[in-house]
Amino acid sequence: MPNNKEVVLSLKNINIVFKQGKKKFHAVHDCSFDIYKGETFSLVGESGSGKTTIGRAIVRINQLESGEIIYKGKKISGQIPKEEDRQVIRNIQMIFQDPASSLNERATVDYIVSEGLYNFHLYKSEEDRLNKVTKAMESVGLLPEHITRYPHEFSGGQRQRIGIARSIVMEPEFIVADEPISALDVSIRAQVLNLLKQFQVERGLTYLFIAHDLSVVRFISDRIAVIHKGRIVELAESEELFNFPLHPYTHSLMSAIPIPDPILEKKKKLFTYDGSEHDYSVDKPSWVEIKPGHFIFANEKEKEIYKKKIQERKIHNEEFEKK
Amino acid sequence: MAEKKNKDDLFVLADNRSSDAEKIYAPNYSYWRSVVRSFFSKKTNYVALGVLIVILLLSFINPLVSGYTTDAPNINNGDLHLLPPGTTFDGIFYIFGTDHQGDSLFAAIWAGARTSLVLALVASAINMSVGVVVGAFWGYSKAVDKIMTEVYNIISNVPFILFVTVFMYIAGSGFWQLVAAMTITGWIGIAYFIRTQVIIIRDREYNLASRCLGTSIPRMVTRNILPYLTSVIVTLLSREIPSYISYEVFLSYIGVGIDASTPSLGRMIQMYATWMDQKPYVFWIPVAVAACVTISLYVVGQNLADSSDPKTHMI
Amino acid sequence: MERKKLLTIRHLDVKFNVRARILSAIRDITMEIYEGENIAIVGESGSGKSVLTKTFTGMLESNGVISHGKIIYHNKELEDTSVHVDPLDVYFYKQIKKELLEALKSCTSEEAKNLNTPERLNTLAVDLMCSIDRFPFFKKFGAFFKLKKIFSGAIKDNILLTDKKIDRLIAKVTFKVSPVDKNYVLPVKGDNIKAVCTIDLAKIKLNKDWQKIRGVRIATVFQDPMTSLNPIRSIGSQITEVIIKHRGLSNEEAKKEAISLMEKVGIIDAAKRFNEYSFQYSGGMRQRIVIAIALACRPQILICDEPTTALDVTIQAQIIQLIKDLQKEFGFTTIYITHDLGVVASVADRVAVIYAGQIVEIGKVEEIYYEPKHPYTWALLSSLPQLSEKGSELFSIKGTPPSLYNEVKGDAFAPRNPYALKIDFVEEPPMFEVTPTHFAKTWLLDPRAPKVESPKIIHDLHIKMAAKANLEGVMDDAK
Repeated sequence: MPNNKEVVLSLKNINIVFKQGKKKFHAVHDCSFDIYKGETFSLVGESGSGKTTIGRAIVRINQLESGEIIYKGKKISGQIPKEEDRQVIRNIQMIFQDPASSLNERATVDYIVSEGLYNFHLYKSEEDRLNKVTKAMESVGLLPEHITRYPHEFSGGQRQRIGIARSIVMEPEFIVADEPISALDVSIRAQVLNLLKQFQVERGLTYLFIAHDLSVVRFISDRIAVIHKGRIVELAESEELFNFPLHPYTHSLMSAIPIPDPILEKKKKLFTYDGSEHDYSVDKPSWVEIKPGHFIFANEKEKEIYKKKIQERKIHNEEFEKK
Repeated sequence: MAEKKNKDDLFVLADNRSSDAEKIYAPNYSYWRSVVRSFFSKKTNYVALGVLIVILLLSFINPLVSGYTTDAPNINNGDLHLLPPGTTFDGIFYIFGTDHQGDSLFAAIWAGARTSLVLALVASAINMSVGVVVGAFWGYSKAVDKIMTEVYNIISNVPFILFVTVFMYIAGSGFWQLVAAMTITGWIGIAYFIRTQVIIIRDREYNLASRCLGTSIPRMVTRNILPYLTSVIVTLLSREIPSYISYEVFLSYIGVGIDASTPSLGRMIQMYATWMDQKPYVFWIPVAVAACVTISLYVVGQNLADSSDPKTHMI
Repeated sequence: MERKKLLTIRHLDVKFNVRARILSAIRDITMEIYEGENIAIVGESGSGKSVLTKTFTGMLESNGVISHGKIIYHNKELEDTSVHVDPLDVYFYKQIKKELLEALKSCTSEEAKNLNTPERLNTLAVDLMCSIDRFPFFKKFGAFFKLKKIFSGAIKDNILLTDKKIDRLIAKVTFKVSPVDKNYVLPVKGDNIKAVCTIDLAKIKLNKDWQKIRGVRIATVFQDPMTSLNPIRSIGSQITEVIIKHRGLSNEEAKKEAISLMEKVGIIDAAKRFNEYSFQYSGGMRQRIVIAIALACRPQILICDEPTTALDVTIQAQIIQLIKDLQKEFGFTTIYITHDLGVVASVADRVAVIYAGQIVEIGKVEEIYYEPKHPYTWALLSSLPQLSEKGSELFSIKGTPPSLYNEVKGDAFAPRNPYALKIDFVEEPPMFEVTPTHFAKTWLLDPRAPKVESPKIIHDLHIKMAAKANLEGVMDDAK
């Protein structure tokens, strides 16, 4: 966790609505969070929760209905001048989920990795460009001779690494990784995660990691936000969240992860959540900081319950320490 | 015993050769080579392609050699009229016989076929180029979509054959009039089809990735969208070309096609229809040839379309 | 505790014809599946796990073929069959007998002559007649000619026609059917013989035979519930169709049965939702319906091919719990295919680890997790994120699985195996026994091999997992 708390990306009260003719779908409700420089911030939720929508809004693929996205002090959402749009593309890159469809099947790896370079003419000569491509390929563990081949000749893990090479060659500062390992085999996931970690250390990258696999997220993140039906329900540092989940949805999400231990799995109890435990008819909920660094979406009544829980745990821990 | 000892030596840790694991051993994939291989893996394609090549050669070379014209030079020479196929008259072998004007049916047919083929190729070329380009932009840009959909709804409600027939009545018969008739609105159906395909692939992740990298719309169309459409385009062509031949035959048959001075299969069939009972060969041979041309074009086109679909290269 | 065997798989090889090259997807797999057990097959994509289970239901793609081996399905009901002798069968019997006796004359070996007596050949001819009887009219001739040629050739070559040899020769064409009554020696037109057959799933070719097995006795739940259901038929009708076809119930009875099944798989308001269509159901509910359809005929074996990969994690947990509950209630065998070790820990009693078309380790779930012996299993366990310390690198296996187009020399995992011995590149290891229930295919278990310990990261797996899983209220005995 980096010490300098410099905010590099800030989302303020984002709402995203998808319209199809007369029908409206409110995908993201009033989300706000900050991401600090050099950290790995994870956004966790199930399909349809809105996490991918937020990721795509940051790279300006989706439009906001209301709210702002601020990158390094400058607004990057809505209508912005062309020059700033270019800056966004240079600085913020995205890694996509599905290695089978995120590469242009009819282009060689050479073109795929160089596409960004071509668009902004980020090379001095043909030799320089080739050099950049080769270096990017080698940094993800692929061989230079692969650049003349087509995507379908590679395995899933290799294709995902080509996708990473494509983003890395642009030398961004911020990467939105949209479920980059969900479609990969278990033993390949580690390769990709290690690669991302290595780049972060070498190049000082900041990541927004979008995922649904909590066990992986715990390992790589500094802070985690849990999103449910378009609303962020809880946000905290990762160990804090795993050790003291407060929101019932977070609880159900964690109990659902299968533990790779036969004895523990057989004893495990399953929590289900359907939203019926909340009564928001009179007492309206809001986004509060219930503990330093630990945010939660709750109304007054629930706030009191959570505060009591925190107190109980504090006492319990102190007694445990004494022993 | 010695062999076992040798094997025992092998029970030591080996040095790790992990970079070998990244190598790809399969030969480089080449799209067009796979297309050709896939096409020729079906035996029927050899036959269909052979028939098509023969037809093309005959259509383009024979008229030059035979010197056929529509002037009916032998109309007054009664002996030459309506000779059955295979007869030799005056030292000349008439493989298909002669028609009621004394012209060699063989020469007449290939001259007519040439006209049909040229017409089909020209009309297809124009319609496909305009249609694909318009369709690609139509599918990709939401702004263009709004305008073009209205245009399409109006134009497509007029039946094509009706439009062409009326146009030809007004413009008069002739080769270029027919080309115009078929291309003024012919491209829109193609454009619509391409637009639908483009909409399907527009939101695929690799296109989103290109947008993230700042790729401009023209480059997206040429490098991301159009290569995907190769198979679709070949399929369209395989239907378009034969259909124009059929249109020409039909229009000339009802009298609004090509003018009388240009050889035409359709007009021939119309002329010969009256002889169907007495001299059936005069009618059926041109019909059979017209059918052969259309069918061989269609078969080759369809199979080429299948072969150019990259998904079939995997099997 | 002698559990009954359901499937006996011996030396199975499956090959695919891809772009004129041969892909060996399954290479020499031998294993058993028992009644009422939960076995998980763990492997990565391309390892062959799906292909293996597709052979049990005859659902291999058209360019795939079982080139070697057998899959014997022990099912008393199917094994008992009857043969109706029609004039054609009598003709075949007579022709075969004549040909075999002719061939006997050219036999030169005394030993063979002593074994291949005319009586024995007569029994053989009767067996062959019964085995051919099941084919439809035109196919009978093909089978007849093939079997006739094989056996007369064998006799002429002085091969000893032991029972085993006969079984193996018949298996080249079809599976063997023989009369229960060993004294039945003269087939007569119109006879109805009670017969017994060994069902070799690898040899079944006729659709009418598969229809008795697929969906009825061996059912599959696939990964994608979106495409497993028919979008233009009502949900209820898809369940009742199966019930009516295979259990012979009337429409009303089938509907009642279907609704009770729907309730069992957790569909609320089942009676109302009976007439709805698949687009009105969410992904998790569709998968429940797929399970209901699979269970409609009370199958003996339920194959679950990554049934929860396409679902959210909370739905996944519910579906896994559902399958576990149903298994307890109905007692069928589940074969679970997955690559997720968490899911395996949740559902399995036994685990088979598959790599490059071979089973590399098989054993009870506790043995595999707490005492694994194969380096690939070590690698899979090591890459679990719960075992890694934050800030350090996650363990990963370098490289990619080998191409199965080329012949594999030695151990397929050797190029990526940090514990590889020189012999791994030369000769393929056999299966070594660790315990009567635990086997691993690695040279490291050979007494000549150096003592190699499993990686430290997977030692004390249970303790490490328990430490990480201290979730409030999730563990019943947390602290």
